[in-house]
Amino acid sequence: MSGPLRWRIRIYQSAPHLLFTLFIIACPFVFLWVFSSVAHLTTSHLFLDLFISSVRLLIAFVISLVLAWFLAVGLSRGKASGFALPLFDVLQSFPTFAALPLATYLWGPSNLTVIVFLVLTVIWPMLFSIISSMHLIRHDWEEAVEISGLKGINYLRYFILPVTIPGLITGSIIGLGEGWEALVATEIIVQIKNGLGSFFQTYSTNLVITTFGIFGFLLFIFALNRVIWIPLLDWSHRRNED
Amino acid sequence: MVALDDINLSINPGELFVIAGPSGSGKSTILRIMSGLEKDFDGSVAYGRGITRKDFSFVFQQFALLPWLTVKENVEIGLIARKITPHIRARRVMAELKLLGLEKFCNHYPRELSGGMRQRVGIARAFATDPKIIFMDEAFSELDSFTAEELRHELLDIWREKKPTIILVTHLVNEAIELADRIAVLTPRPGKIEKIIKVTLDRPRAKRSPEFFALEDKLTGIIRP
Repeated sequence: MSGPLRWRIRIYQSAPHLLFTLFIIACPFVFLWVFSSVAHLTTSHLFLDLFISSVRLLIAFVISLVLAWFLAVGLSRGKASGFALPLFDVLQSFPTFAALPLATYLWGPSNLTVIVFLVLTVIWPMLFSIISSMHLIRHDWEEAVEISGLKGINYLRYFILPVTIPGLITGSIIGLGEGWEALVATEIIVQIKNGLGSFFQTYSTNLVITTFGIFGFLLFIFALNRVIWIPLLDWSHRRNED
Repeated sequence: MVALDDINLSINPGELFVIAGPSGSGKSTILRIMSGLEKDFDGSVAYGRGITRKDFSFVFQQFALLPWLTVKENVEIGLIARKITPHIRARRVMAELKLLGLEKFCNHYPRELSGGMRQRVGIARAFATDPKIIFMDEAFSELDSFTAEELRHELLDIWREKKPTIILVTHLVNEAIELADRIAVLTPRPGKIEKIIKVTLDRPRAKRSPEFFALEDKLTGIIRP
């Protein structure tokens, strides 16, 4: 099989579309560069803070993605769902910030504390979106797959993974949205020495720098959404269209 | 509620057996029980020696193609499950697609095809694994009459060549007569076999012949006494 996982993603439909996308990518970086020069900040520090925070979130995102997918696939149907779904519902309503002092006490102001905390924030929307995808599987697809005899890894690869991709992408968009918010707050509360939290805390008394910093940060998140997530979401819905 | 009552059927290897009846007579339920898709029933189903579920295929009324897979990949799925090597898989898939006139569409997605083409893919998928038994649940009822006619002819050609056992469910009396070696006529509430009729007309069956009409009247009379 050439493979359903040989994903045929056609994001860039035309040259103007590609140029617009490149413009969107460049925007936040140009803005932050200009802003750091005008505000007399060390540009490399600003970009380093952005990079460190992004890596923290990326690591938390990957952990959440794998955990959420396996939990949703394994526990969303059958007998296990009877206890798993109410349990997930209770756990996701737990105010995660309440656990932050304990995490800081255990692991100090470290990357581990921030990442664990981010996983606890990001995982829930992803988990519930994937569960929702699992519940929307069409009965005749399931029967076709049952008759075909697909089992084990092939069953996951050719059936469950493709069918859960829309939920996975929707959950990722929501989860990362909450993740960015929690990231900065966590970095500030934990008082970790680098990252965007540290940047905003350092300049918390300077209204201009804080305002433009937030604007640059938003521009960066908007660019990520526009370049990665929105095209992925469109593609995932298109490919599962019957 | 009892859906089926006292169903006792014996189907011969290589036979094209049709279960015909009105809506609610339980014909699809019988098919699902025989194919193993329906597990909640009283009674038993026995298959011929050496036949396992790996020897089954199913053609669905609404095609049940996986939309994220291309035509080629949809046909290939049963072969992947049977761990056939990629080289042999590719050869068998292309042979099936060619047989059903789909080779030009092998890289298309189901959404890009008409209903008739989709059901062709469904049939190609069913034959690709070289099954001993093919179950067909109202396989032509979603298609326009011209396409359905064309597909029935193609099905008969492939069946004559490969000779699997085909068990087909339909609510159309003329479709049953056109295809079947034998027809089990079901009546509803609860579904039971009213009569099993052997069709002895020569193939291809002339749908406007007096014998065809006579058989059509006989079947209709059983279904609607």
